[in-house]
Amino acid sequence: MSFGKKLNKLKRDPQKFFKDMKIFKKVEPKKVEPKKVEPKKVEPSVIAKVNIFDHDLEVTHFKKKVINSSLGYSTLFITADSGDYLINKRVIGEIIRNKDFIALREKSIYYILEKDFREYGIYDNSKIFNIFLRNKILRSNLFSEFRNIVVHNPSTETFVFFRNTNPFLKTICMVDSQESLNFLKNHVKSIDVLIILEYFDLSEFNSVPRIIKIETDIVHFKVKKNKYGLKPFVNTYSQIIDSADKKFVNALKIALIDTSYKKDFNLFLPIVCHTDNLPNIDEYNKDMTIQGLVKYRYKSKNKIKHNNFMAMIDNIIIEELYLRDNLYSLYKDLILLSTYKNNYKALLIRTLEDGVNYEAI
Amino acid sequence: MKQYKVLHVSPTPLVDSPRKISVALDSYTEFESNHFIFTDYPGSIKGIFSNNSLLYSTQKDLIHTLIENADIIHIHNFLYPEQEEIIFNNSKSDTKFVYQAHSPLREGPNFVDYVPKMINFDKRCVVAQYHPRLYSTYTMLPNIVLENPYLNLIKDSEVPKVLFSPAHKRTGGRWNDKYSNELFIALKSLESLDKIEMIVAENYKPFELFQLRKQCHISIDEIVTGAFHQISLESLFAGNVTINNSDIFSKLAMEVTINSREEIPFYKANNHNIKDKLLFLVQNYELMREYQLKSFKFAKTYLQPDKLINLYTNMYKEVLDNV
Repeated sequence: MSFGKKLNKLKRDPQKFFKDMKIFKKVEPKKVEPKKVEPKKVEPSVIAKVNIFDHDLEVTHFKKKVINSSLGYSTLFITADSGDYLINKRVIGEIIRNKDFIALREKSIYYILEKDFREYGIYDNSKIFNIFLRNKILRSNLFSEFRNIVVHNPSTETFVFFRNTNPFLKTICMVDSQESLNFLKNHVKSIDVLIILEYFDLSEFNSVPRIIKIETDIVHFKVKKNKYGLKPFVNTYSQIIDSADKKFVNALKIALIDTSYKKDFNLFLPIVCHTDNLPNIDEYNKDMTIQGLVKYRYKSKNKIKHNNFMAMIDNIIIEELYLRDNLYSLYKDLILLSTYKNNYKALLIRTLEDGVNYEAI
Repeated sequence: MKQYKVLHVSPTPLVDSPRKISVALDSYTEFESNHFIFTDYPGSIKGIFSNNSLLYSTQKDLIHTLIENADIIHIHNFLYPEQEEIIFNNSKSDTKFVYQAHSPLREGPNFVDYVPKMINFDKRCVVAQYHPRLYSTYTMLPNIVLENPYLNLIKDSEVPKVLFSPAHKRTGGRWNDKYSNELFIALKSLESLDKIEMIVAENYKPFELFQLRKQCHISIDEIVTGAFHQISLESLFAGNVTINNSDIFSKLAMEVTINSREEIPFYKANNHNIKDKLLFLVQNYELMREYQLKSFKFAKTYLQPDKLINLYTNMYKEVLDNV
């Protein structure tokens, strides 16, 4: 009502005017239907289920589109479907309870449940190929939103399948069982980060780009019986595992930062260099299509004919090598090993396999 | 009559690459060679690459005889289990099997290494382009171009003709991508300035495309992945400036395979610098002619099929000797 009309009303019927004023008007409280509160979802999001047969692998995919609201962190956690709540599982329980890190919150981690299979290794390479030929879900690039695959003590090739669906997925394997580690020896190429208890023998995992070792109190086991026959204090296995789980999750956080997060200043870092500076490094830094810089020479005087790529790489000597910051985080341990051995072949092969683009300098 | 018979098999035409190897083998060496495909490409490119190939569905009996007579069966890329069965069941017991990879890993069509059910390969090979880094222990073999090297140097009075023939516009892979927006913008703007004449060729048959390429001065392969493809090789044969973003190791793989002392004369450009690089090129006629001549000379010296096919025959001899 306009001011003029209100003034007229005041003149005409002052009593009604004041009675009708908003501040005196009794407002009938609206009847609010009590809101039905959905029971709080305890279980995290399951994105797919994998059923393993003798000859086949069946994937049921639940979500069409995943909204990635996690700064580029997005992770698939593959775990055996034991019928129990996920929160009761080792490591996953730690992850679900851990709310302080964005990459571990809901909508950052989705779960793939696979049929509980306790045997180690189900498929040979021929079966893996044939399953890929037929399986529409594996072929359809449905998981391209994701950056990481996480597995804990894997016993099946499921993570190999999912890693191969997209060239940009990285696998983080957490291992504290010797059987699982033995199984993984056949799939070293499919591991990008290995998080592992420190006392395992890793001699066959030299080409894994990133290895995070977890300290344990397991050392007490080793001195269980000394030469005097005394038994020093021994931690129980469950105690060790309990503290190990927390350490696993902390290591996972580090791994996820390394594999996922794109830095704003993703500059070239020197891996091998003999000169003090590269004159046009600023130009290279700006051109984000280049991920690695390399200067090489041949061992022999001339370029010689080679049968295969490995032999070709064998015959070149790296004189200078630069990698982008994010790649440095990804290949940290392989770089350390290469520098220690002064041999960059394994690093070069692995980065090339992963699709790193090198420019000659 | 030739001493040995080779049979090339591929699930699809694989853009005609296996057939060219087979033709070169048959024409220049002591190996008799045949080639057949199990199925043609679907959709708009049906028939484009399969013109000169035997198709399994229409020539079953003939192909069964070819399989039976073959001393070496060379399988390209992969076979479906039922196709593998046909080959395996019809072949002689002492037939040698050779495999050659044409596709990347972790994306279609292969995703993972091809390991057949019944066949044991005596040799595993790979196309010597970007692929060897993914199959580092496989024997590298070059793709073959059958056309004659040709040179049509640009004249000062001409506007450079630029040929771009992307096979598809899919994105999301690491090695299979071809299309880039930056390239298209660069080409469009140069065209509107009358600096170039842009020719986009889609669904051309290979020999038509080569004829067209001979009339052009610049060929663009793709500048997205760091790889180069059959297009780049054909561009060298057509005496074109060849633009791609081939990374150092893709090139090196080809160079050490064909035993070239020189670098392959590609004009390198990527999404970041395509505008500048292309503008610089088309304004500099001397540079264009220099690259055109380099292309022609490189094709003539290193890429002639009669020479390259020896890499295949050497590999076959190795396989045959290895009883």
